[in-house]
Amino acid sequence: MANSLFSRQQHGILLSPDPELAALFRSLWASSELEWLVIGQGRRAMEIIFNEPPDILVVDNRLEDIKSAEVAGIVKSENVYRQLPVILCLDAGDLDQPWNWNEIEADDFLVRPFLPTQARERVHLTLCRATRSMDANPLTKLPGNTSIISRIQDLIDRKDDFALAYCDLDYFKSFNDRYGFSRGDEVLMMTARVIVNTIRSFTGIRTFVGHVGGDDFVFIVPADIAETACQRVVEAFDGIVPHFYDEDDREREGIVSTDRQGEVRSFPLMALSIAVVFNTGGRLKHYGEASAIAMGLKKKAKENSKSCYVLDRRAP
Amino acid sequence: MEEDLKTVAKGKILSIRDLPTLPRVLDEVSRLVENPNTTIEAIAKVISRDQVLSAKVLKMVNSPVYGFPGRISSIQHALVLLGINVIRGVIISTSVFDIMAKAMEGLWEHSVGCALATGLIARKAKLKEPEEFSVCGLLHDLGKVVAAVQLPELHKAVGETVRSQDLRWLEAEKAVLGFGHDRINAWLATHWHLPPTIKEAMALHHYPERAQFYPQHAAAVHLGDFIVRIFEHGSGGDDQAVPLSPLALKILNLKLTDLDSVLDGFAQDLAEISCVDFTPEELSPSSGKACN
Amino acid sequence: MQNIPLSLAQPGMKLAKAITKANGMPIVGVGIELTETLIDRLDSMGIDTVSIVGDAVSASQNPSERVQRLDHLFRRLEGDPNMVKVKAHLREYFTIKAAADAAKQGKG
Repeated sequence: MANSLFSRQQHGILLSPDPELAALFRSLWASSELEWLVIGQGRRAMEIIFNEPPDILVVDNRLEDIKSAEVAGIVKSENVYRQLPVILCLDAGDLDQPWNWNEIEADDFLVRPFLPTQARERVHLTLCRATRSMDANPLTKLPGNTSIISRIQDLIDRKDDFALAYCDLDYFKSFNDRYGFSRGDEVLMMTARVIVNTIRSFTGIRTFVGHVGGDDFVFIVPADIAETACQRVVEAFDGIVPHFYDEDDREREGIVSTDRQGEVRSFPLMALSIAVVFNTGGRLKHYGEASAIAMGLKKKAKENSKSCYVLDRRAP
Repeated sequence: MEEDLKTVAKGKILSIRDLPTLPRVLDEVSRLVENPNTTIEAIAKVISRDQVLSAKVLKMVNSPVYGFPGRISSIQHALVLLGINVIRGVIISTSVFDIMAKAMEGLWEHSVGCALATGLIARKAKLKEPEEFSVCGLLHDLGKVVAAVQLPELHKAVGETVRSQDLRWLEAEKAVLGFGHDRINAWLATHWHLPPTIKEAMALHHYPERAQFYPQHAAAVHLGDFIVRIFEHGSGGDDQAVPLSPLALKILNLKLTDLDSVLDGFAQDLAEISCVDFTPEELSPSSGKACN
Repeated sequence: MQNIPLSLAQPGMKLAKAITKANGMPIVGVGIELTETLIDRLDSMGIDTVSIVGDAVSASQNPSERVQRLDHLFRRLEGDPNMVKVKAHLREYFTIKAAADAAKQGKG
């Protein structure tokens, strides 16, 4: 399972003087899945952690030279290591007094006696959760680049027939300039909902929606519904976006602004441009190919100032 | 003393969690939502005929959680942005009034009628986005529903005052509570981040001349309320005509005679909205269901 | 024939279908004209829909009914000259409508 959960070998550091705990962890995973470096003393470990941060850090409260909470604190206080998940190993008595989890920013804990299955699953869960939250777009909470790439590559490797749609907003910058980034964020949140709900309304199929960043979104649908999906997304977006403009701009269906040179420039209402790349018959080998094709299509989509989608019509 | 009652009442109003609706409305929407072939348009149409579901949907989509408070005034758009999962969740968690007082049913008919009339007024006055005006008309008496649920004793007292002193509902509210459903509307609209057009129409439909930002919305609802009462379609709690605000017609650039075609349209459309949408197959051979 | 919620039923409407209990026991037969008492009785029995004859122009849509109700609706506004004007206009409007309806019925 660890192999299917993670795209590469994971590295963990276990800080513990307890040989039983070390043996347990080593027994739960093949080292090709998740390899454990066991260190018996806390302080020595800090430099190793800083130099080569593992994917996960498990700290036993039984460490003699330093409290597990302190280790967690040191790690989490550095922004470069904040994303490193930390699991504490405790004895039942350690929990008699409540812990201040605001101060001690651990991600999870295990309690003796350890149930091997539980330990294994909790470690997996903590690793997955860390990837999820790290990768999520801070505004829309949709999965970000890492997840997107990993999903695309996964589908390519399985030779699934799918359509990959890259969306972005035309004239988003001029909207931000006129109305500020806060309202720009509102539009992004709306766009995310429109895409997610429209894609999800195709019941019974596997779909995926990601937010690369800024005004760039990605969605993956089965190839046969790609065109319908684009139609619906565009229709819903076009219907709603005017309401994010003030009345006068809504009326004239655009923004008029004067730039620093005194030039009057006008921008139409924001529009969605979608470039759709198909992977049918296993034609794609690597996600990079997909994004390269999409870039070419995107240029075409942007030639039209209204919302539109361009489908990659090339035969495999 | 009065100030305390208002503060306590406001607290109770805003703490409303469970806003129930009519059984027949909930049945219809639930059936629709469970049908996998249903469209957003179909759901929107049914929800647009119910003030409680419409309010819930608009409240949710305008919540800061979704990221764009105060932007969405269309039921259709709200449903697109909420998605079928969330919609289903809202429907499932909506309860029904267990005491199906005729008065409550009357208020529903009245609100749907007002939505219809307000939309017709907006079209007559050649205003943009008449559906938004309809929504304002639909929600104009939401404060009465919330008061009935959250302040049941006071609500009862208002009803008694209407009957015993032959007052309009708004007058009786002011006598008993010290404030009217228009004030309650303002509280709700603010608390729920409803768009400013809807907020002003809900809060000032009795005094459209006081509207600062969206006088047309307030005036249209004012006239819509007037019209639905002339036809006595449903009940807003009393059986008196609305004393028209002197500026209402002027704000919309309408004359009294312009109302004639609106009245025509209303009478015509009344037949359509009077009926619940039963299809013949759904009725058992003996019509009329007896509740057990 | 029209199916309407009981709340919109008015005295004078005729039943297009009999009303029976869920177990089949008849309550009211087909063709019976509704009265205020009957409507109340049906309401207390939990009946919420009835099938009635004709286009069921309910009282709210019946223009002559509207004319008759104007005095009642405007009863507290007699002292307001604007509202008196409005009422007069509405009286004229509905009277014309009622006459038009009567003429249609006469021809039909």
